[in-house]
Amino acid sequence: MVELAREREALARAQRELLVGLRDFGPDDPWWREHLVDPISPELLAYLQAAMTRTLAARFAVYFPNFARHAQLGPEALIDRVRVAVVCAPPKRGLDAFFAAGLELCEGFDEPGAWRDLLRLERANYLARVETPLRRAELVAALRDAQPPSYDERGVDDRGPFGFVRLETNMVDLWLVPERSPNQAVRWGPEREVMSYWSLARHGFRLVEVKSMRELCISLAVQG
Amino acid sequence: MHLPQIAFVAPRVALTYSDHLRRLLELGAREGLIDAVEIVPSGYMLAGNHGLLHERLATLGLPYTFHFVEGSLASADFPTNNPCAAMAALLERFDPLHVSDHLTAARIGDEDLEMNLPILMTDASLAVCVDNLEQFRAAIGASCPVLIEHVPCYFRFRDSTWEPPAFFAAVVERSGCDVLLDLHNLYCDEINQGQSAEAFIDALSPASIREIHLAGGDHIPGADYVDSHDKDVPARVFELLEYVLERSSPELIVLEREHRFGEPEQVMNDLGKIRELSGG
Repeated sequence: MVELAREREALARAQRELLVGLRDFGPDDPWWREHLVDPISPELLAYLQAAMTRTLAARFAVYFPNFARHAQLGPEALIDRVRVAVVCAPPKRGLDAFFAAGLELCEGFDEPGAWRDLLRLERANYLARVETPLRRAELVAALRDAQPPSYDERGVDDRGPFGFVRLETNMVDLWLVPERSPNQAVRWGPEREVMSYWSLARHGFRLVEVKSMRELCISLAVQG
Repeated sequence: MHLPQIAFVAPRVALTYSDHLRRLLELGAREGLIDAVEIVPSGYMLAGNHGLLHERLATLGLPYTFHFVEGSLASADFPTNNPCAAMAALLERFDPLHVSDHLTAARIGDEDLEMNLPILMTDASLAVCVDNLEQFRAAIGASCPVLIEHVPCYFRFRDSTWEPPAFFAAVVERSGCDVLLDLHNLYCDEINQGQSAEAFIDALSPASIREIHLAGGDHIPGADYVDSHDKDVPARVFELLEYVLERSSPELIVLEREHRFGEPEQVMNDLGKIRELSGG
């Protein structure tokens, strides 16, 4: 068993080198000549890299369809600007990896706050789709017991059975009219502090003003 | 003396499921060309999406097989870095004909390219693969046969000490898994590496071959032939199907067609040819 563990360590190093090489090396890199029977052709390397980029783009669009569409994130833009590993197991890690990469991407956009909001809302929406729904009574009870939100650097509070996201702009209209871009949305009104919670019972999320957040959440949950 | 007659059971024929292909699948079923579907469960692995898969399968009303693509069954860190919990949760609620995944190493730690990549073939990697597969079977708890698929060898490693046919056959034999034989992958290797497809098939125990995949691929200009699943099945792949069917009795044959459906009648032609050759 100890021997197999040692074998695994050595094999892991070799496998990691290949994955990094496929992602980052050019066809002339000496690694290919040192490790392969025949050097990899530029065409094959380009094909494999294009295939992995398509996978990356498809995965990103599963998590954040509106963000990918509004930002016009084609495969090339993604591979150039989002150097993130595609993680599929467990799925939540993939979501977090792409979310972090997307937040970085927002820094290069006009109105980065609006883009970050869109990403946060889509993350909340994705979780609402895949998590097991709470019953109404459970949701209200959880809201009554909830601590005031405490956001991490992503603008997300994931601690409870439901989550809060911090919004930096007024994104209500964007969400209601999803064909509009964040750049258009932020021109519709002055920025204001709003927060969102996602309701697993209703498979959607609610936006509320900061000062009465908890009371409004409960009220909305009770009203259904 | 009368020998007992063994009834010939033609294999089921399936097409890979995609929601936008529903009409093609329904047409194939109506015309008797398909009697099963292959599900790639990636989009349904989260608990919240199980219901959607149930709905879609109920609409189709056909038996199905689960072909996973996330396992990365040859990865060195598979025991601690795998999607088996999500697969097991899915399998608790569904009843596929077979469960399969690929003998590849596309993931290490947080690096995951989600591709079918050639693997190093040494005694050490053989031991790792066999151990991984034992853990895989135990972790997913499938009540149906668990199959492994070989991937195309687009390149080979200098440090490999095994040839692909012998390596894959040894993994199958030592792990107790059965085989998903992808004839188009063998065709790719025949073109790109000069490896005999028949030699690969002959290295396997005929009884272990429970499912067959067919597909079409593409020549990259100036380079290799790749397994792109977007063209008609080449004649040579049908020859290989005949070769396999003379030696083994798979339960399922899947046509993998995932892109370029501009001419659906060609897909139907491929399905018809599979039916003809498999005696269904």
